[in-house]
Amino acid sequence: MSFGDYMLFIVSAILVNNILLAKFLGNCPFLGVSRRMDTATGMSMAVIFVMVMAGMITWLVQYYVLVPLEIEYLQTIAFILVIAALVQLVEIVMAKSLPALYRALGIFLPLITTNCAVLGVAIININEEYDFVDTLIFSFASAVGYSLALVLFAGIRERFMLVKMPKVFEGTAIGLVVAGFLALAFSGFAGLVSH
Amino acid sequence: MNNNLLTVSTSPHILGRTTLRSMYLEMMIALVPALLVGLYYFGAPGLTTVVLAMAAAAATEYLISLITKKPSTLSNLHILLMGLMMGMILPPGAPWWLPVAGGFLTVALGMSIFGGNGNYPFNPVLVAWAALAISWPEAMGAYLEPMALGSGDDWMEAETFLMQLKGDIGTLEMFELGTLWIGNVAGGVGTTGTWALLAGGIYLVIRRLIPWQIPLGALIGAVGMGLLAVYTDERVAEMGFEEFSAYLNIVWLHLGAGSFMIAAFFLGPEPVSSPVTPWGGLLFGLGVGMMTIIVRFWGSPLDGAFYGVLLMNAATPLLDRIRPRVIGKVVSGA
Repeated sequence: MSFGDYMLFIVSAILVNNILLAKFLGNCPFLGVSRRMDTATGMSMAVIFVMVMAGMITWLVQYYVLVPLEIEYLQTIAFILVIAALVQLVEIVMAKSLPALYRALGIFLPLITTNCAVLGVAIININEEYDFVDTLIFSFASAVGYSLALVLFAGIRERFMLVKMPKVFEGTAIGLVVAGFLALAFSGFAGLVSH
Repeated sequence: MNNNLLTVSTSPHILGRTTLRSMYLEMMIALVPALLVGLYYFGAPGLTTVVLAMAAAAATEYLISLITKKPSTLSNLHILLMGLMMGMILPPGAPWWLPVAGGFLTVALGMSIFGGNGNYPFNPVLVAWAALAISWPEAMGAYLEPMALGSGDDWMEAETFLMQLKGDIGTLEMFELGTLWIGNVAGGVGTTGTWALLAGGIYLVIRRLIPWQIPLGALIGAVGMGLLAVYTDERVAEMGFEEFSAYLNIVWLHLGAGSFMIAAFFLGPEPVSSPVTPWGGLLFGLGVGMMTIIVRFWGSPLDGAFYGVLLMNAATPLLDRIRPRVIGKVVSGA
């Protein structure tokens, strides 16, 4: 791929096929940590870090362990295992070597184990038959797209503290509605990269 | 109770006469020229669409005020303004349920569930528009050929400028800049009269009902991105223009086409869902203008102006973080 192709690839992963708003992966942390801006940015950083690491390692696991041993049907369980182990490993290393970042990320680092967007990106990498560099770029761009959606969403939800909303719509209900509106807005990017 | 008990007065305060009602009334007046252009070219079908949208919006608000047992806000004209804008961006002669659904969604989905006027994060009209565009793409894409008032009622379906452009970019040369800006083209009821919208918008800017930064940003964004697009797009390059003015002409065509003007002057600078800071407003406008051109040239939807506004609505809380520095403030402990 040329440089221009890579740029389109990145734009596609961030805006057009946004992992959250077009593929609807990773919705639980999207609703869970978006009430305040600082938790949203913390989660974004953690997702970017873990998604890139997980993308690389699951790619290596797929092509150097699962395929040679002909046990591709164990993909899902192997990937979950890898991601969980990876998150734990990252947490232990980070607590010792980068205590500032570790404290900043707090609870969100272990929470990522259960973020389906991480597993989703790992599996998309394999299904689309990306090579290693593609995998790296796609994982990073997807994570950036995730962060973008999360930060926009948190900005909107922070404002709801000042709003006198009907009781029935407060909290998660209005969160889901706004997530739908965000997806509507992002649908304007459709078709931007396909031709 | 005596109202005088509540009047705390030390300095000689003077009350401004601006109320919500007068503000929204002026906004409606600013939309009247564009509406008249639309009615002149689209006659009865255009009128039906606008009236149905306004009636549906008002009826929805009335019903919701009954259900929630809150006083109805119909008297401050906000709902009617929203209904009017909803009707103006729909195709004339749409089936009756389209403007009705639009008016209903504007008030119920876009506004009431957030707690009414002043609370919604996205422009309610555009939320409703996006929902309609996704749900009924055929009905939203069926436009009428414009016919001047009094020339019969044999309405014919027609393709808008942007539709023809999507199919074949060569149709650029068939369009006269003048007709497109006057409004004698197929399009939404109130979106074709570019001059009229511009005049109404400038009136709003002069009356300071909308910040000037947002329309200016939108114009800069659209012209800048438009020039970038015509110079880099291969399809335009094949047409072999040589002079700068030919390229610029395409950009002027795009400014007059589709719903850019109503988005830049009326739907974008909607007071609740747009940024309050000057720089935030400028960035908001730039985003709207750029998104318009990007989608028109390379995206699959026909027009990007409304998507641009929705996206920048989403970014508004972030844009409002751009605040002026407090003079003399010392950041300590950093």
